[in-house]
Amino acid sequence: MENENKSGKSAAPFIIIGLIILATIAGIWWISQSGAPGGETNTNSAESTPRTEDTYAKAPAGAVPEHFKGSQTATVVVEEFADFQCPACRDMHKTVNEINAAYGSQIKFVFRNYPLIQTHPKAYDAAVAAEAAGLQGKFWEMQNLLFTNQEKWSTEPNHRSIFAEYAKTIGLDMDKFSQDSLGINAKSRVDADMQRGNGVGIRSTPTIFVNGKPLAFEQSTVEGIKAAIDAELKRTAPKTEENSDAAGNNNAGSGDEKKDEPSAGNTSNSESNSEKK
Amino acid sequence: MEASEIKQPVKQTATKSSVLAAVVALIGLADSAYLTAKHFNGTKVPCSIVSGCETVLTSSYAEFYGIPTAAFGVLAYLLAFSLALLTAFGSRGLWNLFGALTVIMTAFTLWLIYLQAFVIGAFCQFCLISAATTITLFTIYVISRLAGAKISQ
Repeated sequence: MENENKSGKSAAPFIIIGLIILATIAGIWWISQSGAPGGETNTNSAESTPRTEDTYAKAPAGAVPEHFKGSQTATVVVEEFADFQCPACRDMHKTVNEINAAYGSQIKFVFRNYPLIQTHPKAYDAAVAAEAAGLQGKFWEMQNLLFTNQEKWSTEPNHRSIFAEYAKTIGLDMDKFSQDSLGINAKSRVDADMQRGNGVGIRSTPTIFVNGKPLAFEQSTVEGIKAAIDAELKRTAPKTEENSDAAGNNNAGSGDEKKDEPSAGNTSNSESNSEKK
Repeated sequence: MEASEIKQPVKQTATKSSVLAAVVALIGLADSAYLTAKHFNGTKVPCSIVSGCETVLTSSYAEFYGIPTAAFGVLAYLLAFSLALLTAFGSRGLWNLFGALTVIMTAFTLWLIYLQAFVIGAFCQFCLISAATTITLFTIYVISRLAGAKISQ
């Protein structure tokens, strides 16, 4: 009983509580500082190391014809796998816009749907809505609206009616849009992209490939993607030309631009308008 | 462990429960501290195939009045840990306060689960770990009370 009284009034519990509080503060500070450059993302890129150019080459083709910006015949292909409900993909949308503005027809930028259906219940519907808009030649308009308004629709229970509003905004034939949103054509395109994503070993979104080489997430900044593109432009540039160095810079696009015209005829008419943007 | 030498079974149940509760509260504390750190860190994280954390932690429910939701968890678990520890060291009157706290925490947790399931539409495992520890704390308290009541009858 003496022990009980002693322990009841002792300072021991307060010392323990004090230590725990200090440890908590130190822990929060330490993780918030040291985790800044990579932290969790490092484990993700470690997971993604099995992806090689070989698995990329053997992967299913994805939706045909693919949605792309830039030039069909560009030697550098930038391929993004993204999920409309993923906040990191929303940020990547801005990054990719900068890349496309900088390189234009020097590159071919391909967008692939990879909705993470296990964790993002609205992502698949969003991908289908984008593809349904694509069937009327307005994939990129819808894609842009979905990313820029992600916070609005992703927390709404009636997201489908919001997608319909976007469809109206960009001037789609609403009957066709609502049919396509339920029909097999848009869905099979999303599914084909997802199969390609599985084939190339996507573990997280967004994932960017530059000529088949996956970029680590922390490398997928404007600067990081530019560096990867420049390296590929340099590698694929014809060495006989005097200005092969210039191919690595941003002003070598004029020659490729012309190739874009005939190639647009190879893809479906519905898409060629938006591709040239 | 002088406290466990107490003879009365009621006291013993309360002590054992409070030690267990303190341990569980520490798990919850570590979890919510990690989430708070991630919030302050602000690193952009890619969306993984299996985890919806990014969606949940960047949702409009990740903060209340500018304070990260996880920080409320840190405070609650610190308080729960302190109350459980003090109970274990003999201040048995605090066990009821601990009980009241777990009721509030459980109510908050159920609301957060509802938000993840029906509003945000994504689950985050670290948030679910916290939900599990909170419900465990509540269960420990309820069981200790039921056991205590039986013994004192």
